[in-house]
Amino acid sequence: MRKRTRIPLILGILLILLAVLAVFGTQVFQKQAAEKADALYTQLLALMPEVQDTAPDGRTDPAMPLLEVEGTDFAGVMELPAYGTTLPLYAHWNPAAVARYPCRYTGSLYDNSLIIGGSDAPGQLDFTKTVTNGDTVYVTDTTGGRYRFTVTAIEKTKDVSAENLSRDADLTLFARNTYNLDYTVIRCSLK
Amino acid sequence: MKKIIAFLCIFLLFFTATAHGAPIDPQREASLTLQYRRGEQVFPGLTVKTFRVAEVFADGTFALTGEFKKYPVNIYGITTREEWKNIASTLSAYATADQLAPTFKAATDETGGVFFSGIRPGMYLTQSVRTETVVFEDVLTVIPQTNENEEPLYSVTAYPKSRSFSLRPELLNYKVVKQWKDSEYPEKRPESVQIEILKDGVLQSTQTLSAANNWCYSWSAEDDGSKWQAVEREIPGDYTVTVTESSTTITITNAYQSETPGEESPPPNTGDTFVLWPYLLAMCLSGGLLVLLALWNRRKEV
Repeated sequence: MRKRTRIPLILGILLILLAVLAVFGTQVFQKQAAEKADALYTQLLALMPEVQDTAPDGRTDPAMPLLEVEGTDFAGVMELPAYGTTLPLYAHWNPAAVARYPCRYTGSLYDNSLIIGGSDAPGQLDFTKTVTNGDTVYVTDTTGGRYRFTVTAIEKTKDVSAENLSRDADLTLFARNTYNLDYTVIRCSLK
Repeated sequence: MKKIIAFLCIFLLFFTATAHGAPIDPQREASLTLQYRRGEQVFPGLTVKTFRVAEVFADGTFALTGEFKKYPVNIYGITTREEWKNIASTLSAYATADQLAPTFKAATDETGGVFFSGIRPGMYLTQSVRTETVVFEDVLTVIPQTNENEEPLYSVTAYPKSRSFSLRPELLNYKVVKQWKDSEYPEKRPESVQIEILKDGVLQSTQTLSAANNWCYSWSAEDDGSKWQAVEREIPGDYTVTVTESSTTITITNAYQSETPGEESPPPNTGDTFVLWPYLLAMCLSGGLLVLLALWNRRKEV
């Protein structure tokens, strides 16, 4: 086989193999991330006091207490019973961590300003593809106080500026869609 | 129950009203009555320990006083009953751990009441009392309180909140967990903290909490009606402490107090703009074309 045949053939096969490997690697990463998030959720529940339903009480200090698990700060956990979703809530905003667990973008449960960002990959905020108005979202802080929200609006948008995310909601969830640069923004009101 | 609610309303009313009400005379003689009742049942013969934890100033503000000054417990900007309850449990835990002498100690009379007269205005902590079936919780009482005309009242009656309980003849899993309120200052967090665990006021063990144990220590003990408490020692500078007790979990929260409030930073960018799949598609297409090119070249050679 001559050079001008062999080199393109090897290069072509390599490129296809790399693409397949990338797809496979992404799926393995997503599966591992989902398993890890599930384990962290269980660990957080074990560290928190008994969970009790609560509501904002008008405190002036909106800072949410954090639990440090495996060297990482968490502000609580979130649940969507209709989709079997149970996830830890990372305390800080870090785009690199979004693929592993939902992250607190800004705000607090205590003054109805919490904004949570995440990935729509399997085992993360995957419900963003099927969520409907009226669905229930629970967010529990590290003191065991569980806040109940109802989905009131779902928006597909490219505008995920802080201004857009922080309007008309007691709780906002957002996740970027895997196959394009659109985001799903879910606005919720306290129930 | 109505009296408890009434007490809580007065309690909350005071904290919201004193700053705007008539001037307070911090030297005036005052009195405090505590009523230990649950429904129609009264509780005579309970030993009640009350500590004067803070002094009050003419403008209605407070500052921790006496032995309590050494504890980094924040009593400013508090607006909710839950926060006051946590302050009460924190100060109570330290008073027990350090075996502080109560300002007043007396037994309840046949009506379940105990009366302290000739006392100075201020903030008073009355520690939790338990019988075989009922627990009266720690209670903070402020003297003076205010009436509907915002006039200070120097004779105050408080009704400690109660709950019933029953012993379970089984081992319970207790845990003490450290929480942080320092998200803007993670570099200030210490590498470890020392926690003392007490059973009915007697030191049981000292534990080191750190990231290595997820800032948590747990133990098992028979449910014999004992009161378990925990306090943190050598609290890192610039942090305040709050101890909260919930069932078998004791949570010790350290909140960082910045001397210079940081400027509000703009919100971070919401996410990356990288999409993987177009690159994968391009790789597959390029690879496919290269393979086709190679096959075409080979065919030409043959």
